[in-house]
Amino acid sequence: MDDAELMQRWQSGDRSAFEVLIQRWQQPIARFLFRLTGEAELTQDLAQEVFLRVYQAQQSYHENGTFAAWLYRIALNVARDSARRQKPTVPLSLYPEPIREEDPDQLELRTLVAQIISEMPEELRLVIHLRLDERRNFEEIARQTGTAASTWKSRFSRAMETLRSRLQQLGYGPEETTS
Amino acid sequence: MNCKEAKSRLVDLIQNELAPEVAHSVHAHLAQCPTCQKDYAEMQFVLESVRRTQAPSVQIEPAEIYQQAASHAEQQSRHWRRVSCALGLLAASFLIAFLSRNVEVRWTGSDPALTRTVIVEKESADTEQVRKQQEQIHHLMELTQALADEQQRREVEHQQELAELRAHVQETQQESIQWRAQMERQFAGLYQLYLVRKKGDLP
Repeated sequence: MDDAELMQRWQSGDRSAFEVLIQRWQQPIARFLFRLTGEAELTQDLAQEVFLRVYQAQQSYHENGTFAAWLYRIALNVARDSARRQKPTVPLSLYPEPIREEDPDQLELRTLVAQIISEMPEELRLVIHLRLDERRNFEEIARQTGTAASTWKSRFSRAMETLRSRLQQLGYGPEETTS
Repeated sequence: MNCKEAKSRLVDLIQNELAPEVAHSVHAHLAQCPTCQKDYAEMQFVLESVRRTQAPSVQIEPAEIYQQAASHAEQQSRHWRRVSCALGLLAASFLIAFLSRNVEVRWTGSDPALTRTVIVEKESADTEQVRKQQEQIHHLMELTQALADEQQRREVEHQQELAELRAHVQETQQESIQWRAQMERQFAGLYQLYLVRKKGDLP
């Protein structure tokens, strides 16, 4: 049963349909929120908030777009609200140098990558999520968002270049990992 | 294939999203181009780093959502009650202000013990003015009544929503109790089976 049918059933009083939607979408939404916020410990609470808003907006959903687009819009608003509530994180440029010598393990690299991504503009974080986490091609992303595929392509290149150069500045690169 | 074409396909290649013949062409180009090889290694490193920063897995409990929604609805209902009280008070203050424009409180007598208050109605020079003020008071009263009706309607709606949500929560709790009982029965059955098998294994 697709999302639109489940929404219809839920709107007509079958709440088990809502629970199926939660099961289906909780992990994609968690991935999306994590990419936008870069905060693993916030993800559960924010995902809960997303589905609470979905629940409260049950009757205002109309099938003009896809359910996924509607859900992601809600998630984006939740992430934005959370960013407004959060204190700003320490910019990477203020990290003591060199980081790599102090703590060279993979956990450090994962934390850095998450932080570099969370400092990027929203559209770059979005394209990383859609292209790499959801593995959508640019044409699909363009259809879903209404923004040209070429724009998303150039955003993706910018995001990859930002990641590559920031990691290189911090002493991370392919040669070091293979040695 | 040239460097520009190869570079534009590096991500697709790393993610195994290219048709086999295109992937073969890119590999052929990489084999003979050190610059693209370097780009490929860097891109692979970046993508692998991103892939490793995966979101934690989450588990959303519908019962919690129902509970939170119920408490939000209750908060909202309380908020509207407060708003309507404040508006009522405001309307009352306006009424008093209007009325006090037409009355005067005068203290009389020189002996404080005999002092009494008399309320003397001011003579209105302009009867048209009085009529307008009465109209305004009437409108204000109508507005207050409409607000009270609206508040009552919202209250009824919220109560219905709350009742519905409470029923949902109860049902979910019942379901989980039933699930638990079923799991326990299944576990007991499996354990019995295990015991029988174990007994059978004994010499």
